[in-house]
Amino acid sequence: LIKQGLDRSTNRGPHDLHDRRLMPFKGAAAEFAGLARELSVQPDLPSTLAAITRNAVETVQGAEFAAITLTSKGGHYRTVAETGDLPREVDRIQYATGEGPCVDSLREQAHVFRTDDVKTDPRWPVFGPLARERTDVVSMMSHRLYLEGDDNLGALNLYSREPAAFTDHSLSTLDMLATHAAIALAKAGAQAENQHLQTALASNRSIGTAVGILMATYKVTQDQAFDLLRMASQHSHRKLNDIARDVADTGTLDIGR
Amino acid sequence: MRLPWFPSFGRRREDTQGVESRVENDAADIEYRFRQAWTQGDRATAVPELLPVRLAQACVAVLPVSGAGLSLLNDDFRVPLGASGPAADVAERLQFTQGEGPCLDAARTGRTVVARAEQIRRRWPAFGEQFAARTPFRAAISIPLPLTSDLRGALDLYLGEGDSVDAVSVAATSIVSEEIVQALLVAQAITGSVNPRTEEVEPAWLHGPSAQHRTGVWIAMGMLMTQLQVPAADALARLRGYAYSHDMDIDQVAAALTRGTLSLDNVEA
Repeated sequence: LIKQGLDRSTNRGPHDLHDRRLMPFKGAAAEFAGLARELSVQPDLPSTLAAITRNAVETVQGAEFAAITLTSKGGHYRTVAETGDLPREVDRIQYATGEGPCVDSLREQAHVFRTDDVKTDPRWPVFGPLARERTDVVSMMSHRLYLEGDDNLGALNLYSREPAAFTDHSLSTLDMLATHAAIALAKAGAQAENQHLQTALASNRSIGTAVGILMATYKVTQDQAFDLLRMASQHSHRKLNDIARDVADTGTLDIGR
Repeated sequence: MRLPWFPSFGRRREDTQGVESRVENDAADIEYRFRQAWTQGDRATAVPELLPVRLAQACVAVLPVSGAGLSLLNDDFRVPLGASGPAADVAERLQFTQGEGPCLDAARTGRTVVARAEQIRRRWPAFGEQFAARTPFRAAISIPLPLTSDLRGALDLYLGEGDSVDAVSVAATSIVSEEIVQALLVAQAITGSVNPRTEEVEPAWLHGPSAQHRTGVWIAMGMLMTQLQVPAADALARLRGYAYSHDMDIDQVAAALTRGTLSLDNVEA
């Protein structure tokens, strides 16, 4: 609490600027570069999520617990990573009531929501009192995890059992962390889908090979050869990729099928 | 300029003034400078298709090397993604033409390959001869790019007469290669574009000019397969053989075949 009191008195807007001038840039860069690297070298999605929540508790002042919420295709919310037991219960209440900082950060225009005490916050009249009654949570802060162009939406949520635990400084740290987290999540997602990249490479080659085979077989131009592939694809209701692979494998095109 | 389609890495670092003066060669600075180089680079390469070119150019900007290129390996069929300039493009084509070189070893073994001039001549004589004759480069460092567990790629760094292999730190190259993997994967997540020919969603960077150029080799391979009634690997071997004996690279041979300026019969022998 003493630490918090100090934080509250020293970390207001203007002081943040002041800090920035005093703090050698390299220190900040090294800290976040190290964090970004730690997030980016995680082998898969679950360990990336775990690294993000762990780092959130370590780096954001006032954070006692952290969790990540992801939205599913049907618009449902799911807590996919958390530290400790408190987040899961708080999140369950948020999802059930459709209220709370996490839900709002995913739904509203603003991408970050902070509260000093959920119980007295007028924005969440149902969630707040219920969460205080059933859990020890008092302060919360949620930040949307979102990359432009990416459809996947999530939020990074921080919790504390103390009132007014999150300062402006906490907020700007979370802001930075959320950017790295969103990048790391996008990367982990793409890595998971990369069977697809292998397929894309192979099929691009098959299409080229098939075009060459048809050019030599029917003495046609490159464009005409490709048209033959497309026609065969339309007639047979099969993907052009599959037709091309057949041609590359067998050396012939069965147009009439 | 900032890439309009790529997420910001955080405002604070980009807005900080007077950063350059404090830059030293430690990990954070290499990462920072590399990011600056590829996110703030040339307007001409700001489209998602040219991301590999930007990344390669950023390597040359922050590392003491003269050329760089990115490529993917799908079996023996290598696809260049982009290079820092024409000479690095040539170096890639020579490796593909000869079917040997540091990049192939790095991608196959998953380990960084450091090749000084004399090692290049000894380990890959056919490639080494062409490399010395047709590029300004003398040495190469190839770093594997683990895009996924089973897709192999590599970053090739090329060193000229005035560069020293010893000046390129292992720490710096590993940071740069991690950054490249991350940039490609994040770009894949946010800029998947539809391949108009197949209507499949693929990362835009898979369809840059370098990769498209290589398609010419697959077409020529198909033509030869039909003409000679041989499998793909044999057709590729004949293209390579013709290129080697005529002092061309395989992409030039392929282009001549598909344009009709070179007859298939000539490659048969």
